[in-house]
Amino acid sequence: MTAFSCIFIALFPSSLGVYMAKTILQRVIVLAMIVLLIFPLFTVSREVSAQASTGTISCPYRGGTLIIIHMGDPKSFNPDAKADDPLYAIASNIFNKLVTLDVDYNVIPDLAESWETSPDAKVFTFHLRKNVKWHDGVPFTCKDVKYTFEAMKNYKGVAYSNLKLDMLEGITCRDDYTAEFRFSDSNAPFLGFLAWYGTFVLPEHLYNKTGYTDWMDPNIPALSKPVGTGPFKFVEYVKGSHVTLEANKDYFAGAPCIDKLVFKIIPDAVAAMQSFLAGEGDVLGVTPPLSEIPRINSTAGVLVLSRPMPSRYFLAYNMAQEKGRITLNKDVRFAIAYAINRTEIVEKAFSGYGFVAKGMYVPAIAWAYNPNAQPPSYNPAKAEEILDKLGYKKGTDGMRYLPNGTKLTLKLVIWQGAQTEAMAQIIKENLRKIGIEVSIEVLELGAFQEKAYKEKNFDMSITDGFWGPDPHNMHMRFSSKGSHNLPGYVNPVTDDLLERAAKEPDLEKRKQLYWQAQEEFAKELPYFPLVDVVGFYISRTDWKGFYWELAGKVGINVYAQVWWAKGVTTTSPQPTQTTQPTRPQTQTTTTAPQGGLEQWLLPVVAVVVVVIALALALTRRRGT
Amino acid sequence: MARELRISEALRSARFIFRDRSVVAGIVMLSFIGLLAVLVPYLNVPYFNSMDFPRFSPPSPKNPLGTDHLGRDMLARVLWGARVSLAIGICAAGLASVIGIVLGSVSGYFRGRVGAVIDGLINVFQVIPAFFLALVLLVMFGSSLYLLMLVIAVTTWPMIARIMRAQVLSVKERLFVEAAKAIGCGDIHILFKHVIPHAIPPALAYTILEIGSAIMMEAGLSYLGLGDPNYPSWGRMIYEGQPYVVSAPWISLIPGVFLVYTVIGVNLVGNGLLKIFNPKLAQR
Amino acid sequence: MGLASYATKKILEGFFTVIIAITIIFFLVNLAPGNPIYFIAGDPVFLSPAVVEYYTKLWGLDKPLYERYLIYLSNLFRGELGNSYRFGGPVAQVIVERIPLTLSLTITSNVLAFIAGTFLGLRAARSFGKGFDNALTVTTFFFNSIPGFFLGILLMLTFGVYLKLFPVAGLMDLRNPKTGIMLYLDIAYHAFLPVLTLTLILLPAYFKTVRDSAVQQLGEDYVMTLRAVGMDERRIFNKHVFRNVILPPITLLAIRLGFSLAGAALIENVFGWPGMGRLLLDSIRERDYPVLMGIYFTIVVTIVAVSVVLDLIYGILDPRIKSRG
Repeated sequence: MTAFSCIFIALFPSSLGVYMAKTILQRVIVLAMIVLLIFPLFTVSREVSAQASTGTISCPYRGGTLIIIHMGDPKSFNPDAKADDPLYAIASNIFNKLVTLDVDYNVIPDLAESWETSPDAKVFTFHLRKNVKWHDGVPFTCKDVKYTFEAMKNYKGVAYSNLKLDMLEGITCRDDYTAEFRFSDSNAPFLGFLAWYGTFVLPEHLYNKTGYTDWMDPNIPALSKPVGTGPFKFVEYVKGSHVTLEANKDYFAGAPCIDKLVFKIIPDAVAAMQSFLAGEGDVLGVTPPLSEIPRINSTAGVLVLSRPMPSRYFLAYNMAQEKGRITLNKDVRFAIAYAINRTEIVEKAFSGYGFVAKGMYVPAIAWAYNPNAQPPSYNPAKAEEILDKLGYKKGTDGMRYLPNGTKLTLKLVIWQGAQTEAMAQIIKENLRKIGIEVSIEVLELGAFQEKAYKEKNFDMSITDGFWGPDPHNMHMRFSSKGSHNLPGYVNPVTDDLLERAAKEPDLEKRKQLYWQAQEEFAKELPYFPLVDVVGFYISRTDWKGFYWELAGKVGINVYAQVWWAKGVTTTSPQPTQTTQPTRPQTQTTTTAPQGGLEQWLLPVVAVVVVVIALALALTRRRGT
Repeated sequence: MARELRISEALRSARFIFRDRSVVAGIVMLSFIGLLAVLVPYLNVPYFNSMDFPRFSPPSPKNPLGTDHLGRDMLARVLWGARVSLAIGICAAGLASVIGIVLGSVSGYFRGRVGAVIDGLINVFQVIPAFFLALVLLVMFGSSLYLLMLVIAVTTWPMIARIMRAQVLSVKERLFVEAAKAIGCGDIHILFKHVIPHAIPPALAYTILEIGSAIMMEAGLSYLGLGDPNYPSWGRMIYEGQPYVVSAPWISLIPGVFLVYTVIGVNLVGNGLLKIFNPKLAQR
Repeated sequence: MGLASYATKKILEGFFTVIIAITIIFFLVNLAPGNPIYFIAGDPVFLSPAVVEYYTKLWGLDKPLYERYLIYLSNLFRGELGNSYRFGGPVAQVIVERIPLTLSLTITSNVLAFIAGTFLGLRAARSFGKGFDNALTVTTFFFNSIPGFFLGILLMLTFGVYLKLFPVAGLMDLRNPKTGIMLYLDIAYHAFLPVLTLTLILLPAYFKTVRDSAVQQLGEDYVMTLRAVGMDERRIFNKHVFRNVILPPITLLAIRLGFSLAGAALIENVFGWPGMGRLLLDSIRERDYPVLMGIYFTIVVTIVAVSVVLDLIYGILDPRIKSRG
C-alpha cells in the first residue's frame, strides 16, 4: 500500500518538472529521472505473505538465492566413494542419509523415521519414510538403501571401515520401507558413524545398470548430474567457480524457503573472507584466519557464532619401539608436555578462539569424557628439573646435550597449514627455552601421511582430527590395531579396553571402559592434547533458519530451512551496504492475491505517468 | 707475465664498470644489505624467533618494523631473513653456474657426440617449466633449505650453459688457442687455463642476475608454503603474513620491500656487467 | 643442409626432447614419497587394507615401475592420457576445461605487454638518454625486479580492498549471474587485476628488447638520411625503425606464448583464478598422478612445438641454412 502512495507523491514533482522544462532535451532528462525514481519501487520488498507449506518447514518469506562461500571443488558427485570434503556440504543438500547428525552431534532421523537395535548390536532395523521421491520422480524405497550399502561394501566406499562393512552379512528389505542390516559381530558404534560421513543414499535406478563397472564408472550420468532425495536439486557445476542447486518443491519435509542455493568456490581463506565481506556471499563456509574474526564480527550485517567442537589438535610422540628413541622415555614426554605453554598457543596460533585441551578425550562428546584423566599443565620449572635429573646437561649455548655429547634435537613433523605451522613455531620456541632444539619439517599432506603415518619418521608430530561422533574414534587413533595410529602406540591394556568397548552394547558399561582407557592414556602420555577447536558459523544477518540454530531438527550443512529475514520488512528500498543486496526473485506459487495486484499496478502507473508527461511535453512544445 | 696481464685487464674492466652509474648504484645497494646481513649477530636485535612482544603491533619505537602474528620482532626477522634469502640466492645461483659453466664449456669445446648429448640435456631442461619442476620436487620430497637451493639450481642452469657454450665456441676460434694447441698443450689444460677465463665474463654477469631470480624463485616457492619453516627467509615471511594482509599488511609488505630492493640491486649490477661484456646478450 | 633435412632434424630433436622430459618427470613423480591412495580417503581414518588393495589394483599401482612406464608411454602414443585419480574422469577432459581460463590470462597479458612494450620501447628510443627514456627505463626495471605474486598482492590490496574498484577474487559474480555479453564483461571485470599484474611483469622484457634494438638503429645511416630529409621523428620511429626492430619481440612473444600454459600459476593463486595453475597445485598436493603427468605433457609439448616452429621459420628466413648443402 505504501508503494502506491509513493507513486502518487512522485507524480507531483514529475509533472511539475515536465511542465517547467523548456527544451526537448530537458524534458527527456526529467522523464528519465522520473522513470529512475519509480523503478526501485518495483523491487521494493513486498509484504509478508504467509502461505501453507507442504511439510514441516514454515517459511516466513519465500524466495531468494543463498550463496555459500565454499572451500573447493568437489571431485565428483558420488558422495560415498571417496573422501571428498568439498562435496560434503553440497551433497548434504542434494542427498539424504538414513540418519544424520545435528549441530550438537546427536543422531537425528533423516530418511529413516525410526529404528531398532538388537540387544547384541548385530541387527539394525530401519523404518523408512514413505512418499519420498527422487529428484527425477522415481519413488524412494528400500532397494535404494540396499544397493547403496552393498555398493559401499563391494567398492570399498569411504565409510567401509567406519561402518565395519567387512562384518556386514547382508541387508534385507522386509518390505519396501523396512531395511534390516545384519552384522556377524557386535557393531556398537554403527549408528554414530552411519550418521556421519560417506553414508548418503544413492538412487539405485541410476547406478545399478548392467553396463557399469562400478559406482564411479565415468559413463554414469548421475556422477556429474546427481539425483538425490534432498531439499535441493542439482542445476549446474562450473569447475573452479560454483555449484548451483535449486529448491526441490516436493521435498518430504517441505519445500525450502529459498529458490536457489549456490556454492561459490574460493579455496583461499583470505580471498574467501574478502569475498564474503564484499557481499559476494551470505555464508562464509571457509574458516577465515582466526585473527580476523573480531573484524568480521564487528562488520555491520554479519553474525559470527561459535561452538566448541569435538575436534582437537594434539601432539603425538613417536612410540614405535626402537633402540635409543628418546620419546620412548615417559619422563621425557612429560617434560616436553610441561614445557609447552598451551595458553600461549591458543592466544597466538588461534587468536584466542580455542580452548586449552581438557582431558585425554574431547569434552564435547560429554557422555564419554572422563574429567579425572587430565594431561599435564604448563610448568617449565618442572620440565627443567626432569631433564636435569635425566642427565641432559645444558651446554654453553644453553641447549641440552645427551651424555654422549650430541645435542638433544627432536624432529617435529607437521602438515602445511597456517595453524599447525604457528603451533609448531611456538612449541619450538617453548622447548628452546628449556634447552631442547626442535627442527620443524613441514610437509604436504600426502608426504606427511607417508612420512608420519607410514614411515614413522619423526620424534613428534602435530595433527588435528575430528574425535567424534563416537569414542570408538580413540580406537582408530591409539589402538595398535587402529587404522590411524599416528604415535604407533602399542599398549595391551588400552588395546583391550578399546576392543571391548567397541563390542559392548550397554552404554553405561561402554562409558566405564572408555573412562579407564583415558586414565591409562593420562598416565602414559603417548600423545599430548593441545587445543580443543572452536567451530565458527559466519553468516549475514539478512538470513535466518540455519542448521546451527535448529539443533535436533536439521542436519549439519543442510540449508533447507533458511529464509530471507529482510524480506519480512516492508517498503524500504534495499539496504545500502557497500554490498550488493540480494534481490529476491518473485515466487510464483502460493502467494496472497494482494501481491499479484501490486505487481501489475506499478508498471501500469508508471506507463500512465510517462504518457501524461509526454502529452504535457508535446502540447507545451506546440505552444511555443 | 700472463698473470700481470690479467690483473691489469681486470683493473681496466673494473674502472670501466665503475663508470656506469647504475652499476655503482647497484653495488652500493647490495653492499648495504649485505653488510647488514653479515653484521646481524652483532647487532642489538632480539632473537628472530622470540615471541615476547605483543602480536600485530604496527611499527613503533619498540619494534621499528612492527611485530608479526606470533609476536616476533619484524626488524630482527627481516635482517636474519636477509642472511637466509641471500644465502639461498647466492648458493643456488652459484651451484647453477658451476653446472652451467662446466657443461656449457665442455659442450662448446668438445663438439661431436659429447657436445650433442649435453645440448640435448640443455634442451630438455629448458623445456621443462622450471617452477613446476621445483613444485613437484618440493611438495613430494618435503622442503628444506638445501633442497630449495638444489631445486632452484637444477632448474636454472641451462641458460648459463647456453651462454657459456656460445662464448666458448667463439673463443676457441681465437688465435692464442690455436697457438696453444700448436705448442702441444692438452685440451683440458687449454680449456681450463685459457678458454674458460676468456669466455666466462658474460656467464658470471648472468650468474649475478641469476642470484636475483633465485631469490625471487625462492620467494615464489615459499609463498606457496614450500619454504623451510625453520628459517625466516623473506619469501617465507610473505607467506606467513598472507592471511593477515588486509589487517596487518606490514607483515607481508616489509619483507617484500626488502626483497624488491635486493633484487633491484642485483639486477643493476648484473645488467650493467652484461652490457659491458656482451651488449647483445643484455637484450634478453 | 637443405631445408628438408634441417626441418627433419629439428622435428626429431623436438620429439626426443619431449620423450626424455616425460621420462624424467614420470620417474621423479612415481619415485617420490606419498601414496596417492591415501587421498581417496582424505583422512586416513577411513582407510582399511581392503580399500588400499582395491585401489592399488584399480590404478595399476601393483605393477613394477618400469612396466608402468611402458604402459604409460604406449598410452601416450595412442593419445590416451588416462583417468584422474581425484575425479575419476578422463584427464584430457579435466585439463581442457581449465586451459581456456589460463590462456585467456596469459595470451591477453602477453599481447598487451607486447603492444605496450613495443610502443613504449620505440618512444623511449626516440628520447634516448633524456627524461622520458630514463623514466621508462627505471619504471620497467622496477617491474622486472618485483616478484609477480607480490605485485599481485599489492594491486589486489590497492584496487580491490582499499579502493574497492575491482573484485578481489573469483571468476564471476554469482549473486546475479549474467549471461551472454554481460557474462563476458563480468569475467573481463574479474580478470582485470590478474591481467594487469601479468602484463606489468611481462612488459619490461619486450620494452627492453625493442628499446635496445631501436637505440642501436639510431646509429644507422638510414635514420640520419631520413632526419636530414626532414621526416617527422615520430614517423621515423613508428614506421621505419619499427620494421627493423620488430623481429626480436615477436620471437619473444612466440616463446612466451609457448610457455603460457605454465605461466601464471602464482598469480592465479593470488586472485583465485581457476586455471591450470590451481589444477596443477591441487594435483601435486593430492597426488593425482595422471592429471599431473597430463599437465606436464601438455606444457612440454606446447613449448617444444612452438620452438620447433620458430626454428623452422628461422630456417626459412635465414639463407645460410637453406644454402648449406
